[in-house]
Order: sequence, then structure tokens, then C-alpha cells
Amino acid sequence: MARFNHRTIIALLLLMAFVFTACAPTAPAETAQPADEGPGASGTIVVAMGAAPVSLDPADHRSRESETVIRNMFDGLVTRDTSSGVHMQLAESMDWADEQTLNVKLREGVKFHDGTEMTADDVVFTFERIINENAIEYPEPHTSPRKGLIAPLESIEKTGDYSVTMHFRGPWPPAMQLLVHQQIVPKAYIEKVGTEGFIAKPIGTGPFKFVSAQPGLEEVVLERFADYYGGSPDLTPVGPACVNQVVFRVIPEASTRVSALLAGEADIITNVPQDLIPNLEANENVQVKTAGGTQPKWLELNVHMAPFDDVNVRKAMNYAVDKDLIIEKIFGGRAVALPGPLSPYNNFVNKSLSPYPYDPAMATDLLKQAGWEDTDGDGILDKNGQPFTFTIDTLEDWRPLAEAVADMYRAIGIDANVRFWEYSVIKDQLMAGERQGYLDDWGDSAFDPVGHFEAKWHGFVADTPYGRGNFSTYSNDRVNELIEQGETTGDPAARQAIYDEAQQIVYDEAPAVFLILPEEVEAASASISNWSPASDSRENMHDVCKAE
Amino acid sequence: MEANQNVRSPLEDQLYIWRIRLEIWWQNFRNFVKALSVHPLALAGGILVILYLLSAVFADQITVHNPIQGNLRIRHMPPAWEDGGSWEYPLGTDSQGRDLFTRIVYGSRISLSVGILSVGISVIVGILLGTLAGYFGGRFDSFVSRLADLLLAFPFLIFAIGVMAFLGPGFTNLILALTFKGWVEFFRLVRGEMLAEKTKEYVEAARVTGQGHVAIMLKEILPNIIQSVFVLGTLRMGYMIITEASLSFLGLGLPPNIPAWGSMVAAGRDSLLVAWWVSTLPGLAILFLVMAINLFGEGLRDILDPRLKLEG
Repeated sequence: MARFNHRTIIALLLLMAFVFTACAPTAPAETAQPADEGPGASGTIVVAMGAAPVSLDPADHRSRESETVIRNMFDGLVTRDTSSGVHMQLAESMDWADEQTLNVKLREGVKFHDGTEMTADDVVFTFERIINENAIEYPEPHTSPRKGLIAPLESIEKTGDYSVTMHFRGPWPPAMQLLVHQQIVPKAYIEKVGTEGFIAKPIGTGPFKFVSAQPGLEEVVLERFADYYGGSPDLTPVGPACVNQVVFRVIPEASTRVSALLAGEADIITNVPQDLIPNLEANENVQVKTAGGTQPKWLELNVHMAPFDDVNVRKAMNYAVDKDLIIEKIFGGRAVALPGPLSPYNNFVNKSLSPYPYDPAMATDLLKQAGWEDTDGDGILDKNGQPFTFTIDTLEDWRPLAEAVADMYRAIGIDANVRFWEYSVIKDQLMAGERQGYLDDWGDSAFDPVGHFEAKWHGFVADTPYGRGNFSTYSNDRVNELIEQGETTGDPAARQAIYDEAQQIVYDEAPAVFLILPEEVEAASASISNWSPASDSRENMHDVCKAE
Repeated sequence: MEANQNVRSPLEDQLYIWRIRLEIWWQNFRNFVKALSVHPLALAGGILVILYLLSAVFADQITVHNPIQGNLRIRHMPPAWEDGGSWEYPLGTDSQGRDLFTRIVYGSRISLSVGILSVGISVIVGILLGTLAGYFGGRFDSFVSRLADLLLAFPFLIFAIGVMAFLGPGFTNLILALTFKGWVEFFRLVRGEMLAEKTKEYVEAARVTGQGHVAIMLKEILPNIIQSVFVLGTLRMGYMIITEASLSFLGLGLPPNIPAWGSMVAAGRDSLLVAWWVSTLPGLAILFLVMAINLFGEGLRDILDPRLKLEG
């Protein structure tokens, strides 16, 4: 008889481990224990996120996860509510002296977590640290990556202990929307401990103070700040936070995040995968909520590389994708088709545009006009003896979407393949125009066209925000001109006309396949109250309470 | 005329020799099957492996759907025996709406060809280097043996991950990554056997009759140790298949549109709670194939090479 020796057993164990890693969620390391509960507050909330923040310095990141954590420790001059727009936060009031000058009156009596009071000096220091070249000295001197978000700011001056004036290079309509994304830091503290000391123990004016973080920020523990001034008076509740402690923990795998929520190891989870939503909704201990998305998905087509250097081919690519079917089957209806280059929720979306309809016959026609036909009967279109083969480069996160799109192209005779990358690896190749088609998204939580237009649809200009995410290498002189005009035009009607024209041109030239905008889906345990996800990646832990 | 009847022509000569050979082989085969029949688990394993092989070879004939082209409309359709399933898609469909049965059948091509090729190349390299090193010894032997020790210091999977990360996905690279370290075991086996055999009398006798080194190695010694190599090769094949699946699971194996079991398991993870079959069934395909190969290999070892058993 064949006996099982160690080789067989090891092989079997490996297999078991292999099969069951798929089933069993890896338990996250148990680290944060609930701290002693302070007076007037109770409970610890664990928020499980998909990725780690890159920094806890409000001036030194360009990442959504960083902002999620930072905005619970730091407040800004203004804040945003997903439903009701921008509200004063550390600023008591703001008024425009003229189109280029903004007077800000600060709230008095606001304390940083070390007990010192926030004054005009801190605000001036915060903004100068962002706009001045090489103002951040650690790990080596560099300019704040957030400078681009406030590029028109020329200078800021103190006009009193609790008032500052901002001077802009020209009229800047989206100022309020973008000031939401800059948080105030303490001048005296940073000057004393340096950036290195500051990121080791950050101090802000927000509702939670820093307790500890694991290296790599895989876990960040925050504690309720009892002396919090209360936040924006317009947004109830006003006052210190409801819960005593908040833990932000990274759980990269989506299904593991869901398991953590179901097992009670996490109270709130972000980026719930669409396929798991029905399961969570059926569970009475879980609440699932969505917020309008701010991260449109495009398949950008390299307009300088065959076959996408032909506008008919690019249009055909748009007609060949059945966006409604994708929304229904992959996103469970929780997404909308993009009407054009901008999100339909953008304040300046061109209302006369509607999504490219699904029309494979039209796509085939357009491809025929461009010279692509299946002449050799192998089921794949060809032109001058070359088959129509191309690769959709994308990130693992968009696998179902990318594969569905590739299937739809194969259905009309385009040999489309999908390849998965790390963003940091492929970004240089994209900017160098070496790739054919790239499927990804680009966040725009300000709901203003500037963000998307300057990054995606303006031709690339080195050392400016223009075209910094332009992976289609598209550049149209008229569009560039309109984008620059739009950034300095104050009158809303004139701005609308400018952006309507720009959107129409980009729509017609189709440097990308305008795909879809999924909703942000988050889930929380039923014991969490006063919670709602925000469109702009904020996790507002100040308002949230937890029932014992 | 008369004389011709007694003297066979060279062709007849060859035919006669081959007839004898075939008879011996047939006898060996019958003995082997007879021996297998007292190892029922090994026999079952062998039959299962043959079924897998047949499905890999005749994948085009036994499936009706396209393994690559998806159809979102029938996404996540359950296996036929569950509610909502259909016999048109006996094992259900995956997240892209592709027939899972078709993909598993095509996946067996990848797993089996990776297993056979990587073991085959490892065996050839291992025999070549092992024979030379064991027979001649000297500096060549020390050099290759140290290299083998060096490679043995790395865990196999970690080593393969490193090589794949360096080379990038692709079938050729996958085989390279697996054989890069895979030959070592065969080298050590062949070298050891060679060292033991070369001092035996029959080798001395061959040398006395004036045979050259190559003839002694190939015709005298190798046939005596080839059975051990065969047994080890079978046992290693399961391991190679697991390693390939692990690499594909991690996205380091083949390009994602090629149906490999490992990447199929990986792709189904996120939908495990709503569509368990997408991950689980390819996982079971790996489990059964590797188990079958190992059971067969164990039986083979008991029959062909009882000495190896002592090692286990």
C-alpha cells in the first residue's frame, strides 16, 4: 500500500492552505485595546480602510486615505458637507474685498491639542508652508505636493491676531471648494520639533488628537479631544466628539474588510466591493450607505499611437461599450454612465451632452471607415494585414470593469487584453506616452471643473498642474485656452459657456472612453449612529456615536 | 536460395530484435499493472491523471464555450445542481460570465504542460550534470555541487516569486523560474546513484571490454538509475503544479487572460460570499490533480524503487 509520507502530507497541507486562504479572512493583528473611557464619551470605533495614509502631515500628501485620517485631527478654514456644501470651520467669516483678495476672520479661542491657541500666525504659517518652494525640510527639502490645489494663491498676510488676507494672482472661482482641502497646522510646535517631530506626533485643532501609529501608518489611533471648540456651528452636532477613541486600520483585501465588519472587528469599512453589498444588506447588524461618487472611470486612449490616432476609432471604442449593462451587472445599479469628460455631478457639467450610447453596429461602421475590417475571416479586425490588438492597462482594483470592457471589444472583433499594474510602476510609462489604453479614475471632490480639466484634458506642461494626469497625451489648443480662461473667470454664466464648449470638444474628439462613475459604498455596524459616508473621502468621526 | 533461408537479412534481424524488445516491454507493463492493482490508491491516482491528461488534450472537443470571451448577462450563474443553475453551464459561470467548466478544462492544459515541461527540463539538466559530476568527480563536481547547495538554501516558492518578478509574466518565464531550481533535486539524486554505481563490478567489466566513458554512462549505469529518476520526477510534478498555481494566484504566473487555475482562484476571492464556485472549483481541480499525481508517484515508488522508500 502507498503510504502517506511527508512529501504527500506537505503537498496536501499546502493545497489546503492554498484553497482556504481564499475562504478564511486573515485576522488582523489585535493591537488597539480600548483605552480608559474619558468623561462624557464612550466607545472605540475601528475604521477599516483599503490602503494606508502616506503621511499625517496635512501639507505633505496627495492621497485620499491620508485626508480621511487627517481631517479628524485637523480642521480647515472651511469644511464641506456632502449635502449642503461649504461651511465656515476655523474661519468665522470670509469676504472678498475684490475678485483677487479674500479677507478671513478667524474664530477666537480655538485650541490646538497641546493647549496653545490658534491665531493668524498659524494660518499664515500653514499656507506659506504649502506655497513656498522647498518649505518642507524633511526627509529632504521639498515643495508641498498640495501646492497645486491652491496654485493661484500668491501670498497671505496677517492683518490682526485673528484675521488674515489672502492675495490671489487672478479671480479664482473654485477657491472655497478647494480651501476645504487645506488644514491648519501649529506654527510654534512645528518650528520647535521640525517636520520630523511633527509627523511623529501631529497636533491639530480637530476633534481627535493623535495617540499612536504603527510604522507605515497601517494603524493610527486617535483619542477624543475634550477641549475641541465644536466644529462648524452650521453643522450639528456642535461640541466635542461623541466617541472616545477612533482606530484607523488598513485591511487591503476587500472581502477581508467585510469579514472584519461581520465579525465585529471593525465598525466602519470603506470601499465595499459591489459583489458583497447584497450580503451586507441582508444582515440586520449592518448598515450600508452610499454617497455620490467623485472618481470617474475612463479608458484613456493614446491619441498619438495607432490605432487610436484616428478619431473614428476612438469614437467606435465609445460606442462599443454597454455602460448600462456594466452598471447593472457589476455595480448593482450603484453607478452612473459618464455623459462626457466630466462627472454628471460637477457644478459645470455640460447638460446637453449625454453618454455615448451602446451601438455596436455604429462602432463597426466607424471602424470600417477607419479601414478596420475582418478581411481574413479570423474574427479579428485587421488593416493592412495587421490585426487590431491592444492592451488595456489598469490596476487590480478595476479588474471586473476592465475585463468586461475587454469582452465587449472582443465581441466586435478587437483583440483586447487586460494587464494589471501598480500605479507607481506604470505612471512614468503613461506620461511618456508609451501605453495604448489606460483604465483608471481621477478624484475630483471639489465638484468644480478645474480639477479634472487641468489634470486630464489639458496638454502636458512640465512644472505646472496642467496635464499632470493626462495619460491620453491629448492636447487641443482651443481646449487648453478654454481651460485657462475658465480658471480665472468669475462670472458663473461665462464660466458655464467656457466649460460647455470645452466639454463638447473633448466629447467629440473622444481621447478616452467615458465609462462610469460608481457611488462610494461604505458599511457600518448597526450600533453606529449619526454616520454617513461623504463624497470627498472624509470619514467624519466627530459626529458618529456608538451604542454599547 | 537454400543458404538464404538460414541467414536472416539485416532488416529481419532488426525486426526480430524489436519483437523481443516489445515482448519484454509488454511483459514489464503487465507486471507493472499487476503490481499497481495491489496499490488501489495508486491505480485510482493513475486513472485520474490519465483523465486529466485526456481532458487537456481534447479540451476543444469536450467544451462548447469560449474560455476567454465573457458575457456579463450570465455573470455568477451557479452550478447546475444549485437553484438558478443550468446544464449549459454545468459548473456555473465566473465574474465575467464565462463557463467555469470550460475554463477549468483549459486550465488543465496549463497546469499539466507546466508540470511536464518543468519536470522534463529539470530531469534532463539534472541527469546531464549529475552523471558528469558523479562519474568524473573533480572540480566540475565540486562546482556544480556547491551551486546546488546554494540554490537549495532558498525556499522554492520565494525563489520562484523572485525570478518571476524579475522576468515578468509569461509561459517561457514560468518554465524558466521553475526549472532554475528544479534541476537540483535530480542532480543530487543522479550524482549520488552514479557515485554508488560506478565502483560496481559490471562497470569494471564494461571498462575492461574497452567501452568508452560515454557508452558506460549511457548504456551501463543510466538504465540502472533511471527508475529512481522517474519516481522522483512524478513526485516533483505535483509540487511544480502547486508552485505554478501559487505564482498565478499572486498574479506572477501567466498573463491574466489565460485560464490558469491559480489565477482563477485569485479572481474569485472577492465574490466568494456570493459565488463560492468561482474560487472553490478551480481550487478543487488543483487539489485532485496534485493528489492523484502524488498517489500515483507513491505507488510507482513502491513498485519500481523500494530503496527510496527508506528515505521517506
